[in-house]
Amino acid sequence: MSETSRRTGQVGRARLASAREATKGRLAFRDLLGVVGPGLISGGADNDPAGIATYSIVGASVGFSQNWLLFFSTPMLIVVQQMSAKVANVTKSDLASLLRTTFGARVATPAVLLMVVANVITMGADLLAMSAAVELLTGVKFVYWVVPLAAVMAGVTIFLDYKVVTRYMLWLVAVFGAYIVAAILARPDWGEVLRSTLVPRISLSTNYLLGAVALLGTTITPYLFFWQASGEVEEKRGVQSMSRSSLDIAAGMVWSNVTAFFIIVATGTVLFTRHVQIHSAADAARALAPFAGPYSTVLFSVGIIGAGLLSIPVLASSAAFGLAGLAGWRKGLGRNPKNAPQFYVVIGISFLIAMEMAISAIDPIKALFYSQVLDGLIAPVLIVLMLVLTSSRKLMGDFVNGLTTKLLGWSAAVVMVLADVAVVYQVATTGLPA
Amino acid sequence: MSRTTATAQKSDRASRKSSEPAGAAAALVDAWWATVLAGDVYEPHPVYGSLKAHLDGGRLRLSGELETEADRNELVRQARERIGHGVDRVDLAGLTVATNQEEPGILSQTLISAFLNREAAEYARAFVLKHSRVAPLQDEVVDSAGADRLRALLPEEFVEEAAKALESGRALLILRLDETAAFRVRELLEEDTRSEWTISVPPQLNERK
Repeated sequence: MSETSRRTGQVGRARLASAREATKGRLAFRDLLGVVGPGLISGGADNDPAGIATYSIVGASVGFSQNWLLFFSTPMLIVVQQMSAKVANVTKSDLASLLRTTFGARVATPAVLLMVVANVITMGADLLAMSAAVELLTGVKFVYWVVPLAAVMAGVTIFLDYKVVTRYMLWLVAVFGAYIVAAILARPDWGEVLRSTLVPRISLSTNYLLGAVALLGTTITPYLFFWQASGEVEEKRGVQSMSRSSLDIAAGMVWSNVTAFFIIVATGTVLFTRHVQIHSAADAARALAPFAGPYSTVLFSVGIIGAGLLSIPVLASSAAFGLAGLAGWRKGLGRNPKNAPQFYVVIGISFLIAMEMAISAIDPIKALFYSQVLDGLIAPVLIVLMLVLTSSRKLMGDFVNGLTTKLLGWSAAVVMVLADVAVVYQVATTGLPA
Repeated sequence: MSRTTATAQKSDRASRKSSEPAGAAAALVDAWWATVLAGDVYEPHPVYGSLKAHLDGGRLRLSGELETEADRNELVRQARERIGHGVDRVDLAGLTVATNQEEPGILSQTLISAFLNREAAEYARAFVLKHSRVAPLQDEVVDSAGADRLRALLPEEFVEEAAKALESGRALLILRLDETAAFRVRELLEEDTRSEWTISVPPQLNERK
């Protein structure tokens, strides 16, 4: 019996007072596994190899002192993703199309184009990090892995059906469990971990502030907004399934931040206490071995590879969804390539550019910095636009934002603006990274 | 021209139960199978849309998601009819049926699409109704001559925007349908017709109609 049948059976259809009431279903335990989909994938894709590098660097440079930020940002992350899903389920449209039809091309075009550029740069950095992780495991130089890895991921994204692709992605989300094991192998002082997580310690040092900016910028990222909305459209969930969608998103975002937490615990325990400097996720994996044993390196590397396999197709697809929505092209991972040629050409070109960037061994820190700056610039703008959309009674009807959603949504926008100001301050005072 | 159908949903469900294509559709289905057997596996199925069919030696692998069990059975029947005609066996492992959690009949949603003129809107209506296999609760094409109908068709907040489109010479296709079918219809309107824009009215309880 479906969720709605149970609900309408209980309250009686005639007694539903509003359309919103039709979405408030009680989920049985057996439904829980069935709800996972785009939300859980978004959570996994949030921790791409570039994100893992950021968390590793934060752990190595400031220890556990920013763990509390992950707890602080989780509700904001959930609310922002839920807004993306809700607007898609109510309007039956993806985010880019909706921005174009509601705010016009002048607003939608720069927002989408910046997201696409940031995605492609991130893909390059992620592909490089993945190849470096495979080099760590095999001893074969990273440059030989770039093309095969990109070809496999592009092939899967372009030629396999959406349902098959998402099934693979859901399994890959489990790979992040490797970081929990890596953190345990590092033998942290759990009392200290708990204290620093529950009692915020705020410092005004440059290292601390930059770490906080990077952490929040990596957590709340624009490509996930586009992926989430497009995923809901692909799944054709609709408003009756919004409680399932919300649970899916909450599970994904909590898993995302739990993973980030354990990455910081692992690197904070081993690298911060010994003042080891790292510049990439592969550096972190390599540096763990002498102190936490060879298995920690293997687990960290497997995590990086799994993260890349999950997030790079999401980055490419969200770029394609954005451009297709902007231009009104046919789109969807459930379509044949010949049925939506422009959509798949964008995915193919994104992979080619990312491959070129990885082969030419771009500086991963520079790529990370520039993609985060672009993401950081558009994230608050997109959050505000989504708040405007989801707070419009005309557009959303009975599904308009409640007070809690508005408060958390605006908090996310303010936090992201503060993060931008901090980055601008850093560039103004110390210049671009060398 | 208005075609409000009180029993639209019943007939929609009934038509879906009988998934076997008839007449011109059967000819299109035969043509699709001919292209599959010839090796062109990228054409969408004329009735079930974006399925993937891959002929590897004598093994025909079908994958994709169908809306109903009846659709799946019909497609399997069509595939098995080809055994002995270029196909030795059919692999159906990737062919799934949508696990739809939504209940039709509870909510309805109105979609508004703007077109350059009435002819384009009429053509889009015929196209969308044929390809979505949805029986709308109401479907109407409105041009400047019928502007006074807008208040009867749309909530107040949408009337001004719709009236502006009519004043500029556009024609509007207004479709009210079950909320569970709105994704499919909006996709067709935006991506497969010459609509200039499409907007949606929020879902409402069916009792309000």
